Amino acid sequence: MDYLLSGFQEAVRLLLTGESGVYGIVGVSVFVAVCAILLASLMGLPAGYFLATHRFRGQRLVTTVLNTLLAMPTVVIGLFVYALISRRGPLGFLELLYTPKAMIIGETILALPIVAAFTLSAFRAVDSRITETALTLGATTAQTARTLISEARFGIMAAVVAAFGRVIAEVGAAMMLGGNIKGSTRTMTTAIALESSKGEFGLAIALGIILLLTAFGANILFHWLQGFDD
Amino acid sequence: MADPIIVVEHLAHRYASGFHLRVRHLALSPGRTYAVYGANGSGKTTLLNMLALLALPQEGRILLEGRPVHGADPARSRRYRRRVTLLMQHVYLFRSTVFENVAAGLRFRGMAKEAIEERVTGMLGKVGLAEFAHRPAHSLSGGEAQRAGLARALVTDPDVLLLDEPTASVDAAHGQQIEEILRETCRQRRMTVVLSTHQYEQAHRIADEVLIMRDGRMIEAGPENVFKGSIEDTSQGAVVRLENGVTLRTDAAARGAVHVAIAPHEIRLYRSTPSPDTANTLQGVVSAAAVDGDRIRLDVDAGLRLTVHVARDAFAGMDMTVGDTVYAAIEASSVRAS
Repeated sequence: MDYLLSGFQEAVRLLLTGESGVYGIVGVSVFVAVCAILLASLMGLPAGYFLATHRFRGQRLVTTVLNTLLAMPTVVIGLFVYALISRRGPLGFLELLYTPKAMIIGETILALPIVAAFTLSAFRAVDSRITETALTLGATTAQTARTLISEARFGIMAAVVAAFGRVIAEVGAAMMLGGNIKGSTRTMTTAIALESSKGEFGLAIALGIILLLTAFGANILFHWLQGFDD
Repeated sequence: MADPIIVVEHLAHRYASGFHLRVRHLALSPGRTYAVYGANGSGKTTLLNMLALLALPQEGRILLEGRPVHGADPARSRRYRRRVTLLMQHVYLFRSTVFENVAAGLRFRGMAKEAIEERVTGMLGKVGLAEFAHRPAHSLSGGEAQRAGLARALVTDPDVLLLDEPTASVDAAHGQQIEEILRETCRQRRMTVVLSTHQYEQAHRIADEVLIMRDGRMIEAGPENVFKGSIEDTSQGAVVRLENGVTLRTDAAARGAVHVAIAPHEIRLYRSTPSPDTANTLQGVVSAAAVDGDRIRLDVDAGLRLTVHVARDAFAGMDMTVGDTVYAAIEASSVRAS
């Protein structure tokens, strides 16, 4: 057990001094996650809104597919994007593999169904009288939509936070698409995997603590936001 | 009378449930208050939703100041809704402050901030919610929420205000407050008010005209037992002198020119003179009798034309037919000023 104890001591030292590039790794993780969440929100929020407010043929199928995608294993996303952007792939000429961009693409695909599905349920959960109330008060179509979004705001924020929590803690796609290159694509999760396998527990535990706090923080925020809908 | 502000023509809508709403003709005059009276499920809410363009009828049309309303066209229906607004039975308040809720309609209209501030503050004072302005709307009680909803509708200064059972889900004190606010506003503004209610008393207390709905149909008999007259104090207490010369004792607090209404089910009919304790006894002749669901509708000519509702079971024992001379007994409390 000594190695764990000394690992923990080392972790505290690293967190305090910032040696071994701890915060650089955290920075890559956060950068990739934030970019992916922004992109996923840009597509997922309107998609969720559209699904919640429109009736069309095949809607049930779309909703079912969306909910199924929530369970997509991250390594499969990694595999799929890898196949597209590797040298032999159709997008190989873009030379994206093992860059932060590749990771952002993978994490966006992971986050998109989460943002869209949770946004959809956020709009479904709000009161059906909102639209009618806005209309009786003379709202335009755009004002009605804005009112609906405003009323569902906590649910929408919860959708974004949930996606962030999933993306920042994920290792499969980050490893396959980023390649765990120090100073460039090494994230908290890939670094922990590498350092553990090397037996360097200090850095692994230090990053683990930060990751744990981030994930817990996101989860607490998620449930706090959901609480507003009661 | 002025040209109607809203006319409904041949409105019909059939629901999958089998419910069938039919309103052949309905004209709403500016400045008048209408009560749509009927039991739950008679179609009151459906009719109001159609008047608010929240539901589009399968057949028929609605005209605003003589021009047909195109409910399916967003821009046109918005112009209509900015003049004709609806307060739902269970009001929905937005997740913001009471002030922001009441301001919503004015913000949708792009009104300047200072004007909104002034009008909303004034309106909150009117409905007795001034000190609640900056509280979260969701912290209000049911009655307060209903008043906030009423303020939100009134502050937009609509030409037509539709109210779906405005007092059904609040306690008596709040209900009275809401009625007073409505009366006050209608006096100040020539606003047309259409409210639905299942309380016969309320319908006659508030409205100039009572529209009766049953099973999705508007019963086109017109208002029953509503007479013009004036109330004055006499040695025998308050008396209303009707236009046709009949005088009736009344408990109404109003004085001067009024409309009085007598609920058809509150009139008692007797074959012989009833007890002298009764405030008003009118002798008349039964001119018509008709079965109307579980009751009998009788028309009695007694110097004024009275419509009387008698429960079917009770009628069986009364031994009364058309042409019979009867005595109509009306308590002073049943002669209401409206």
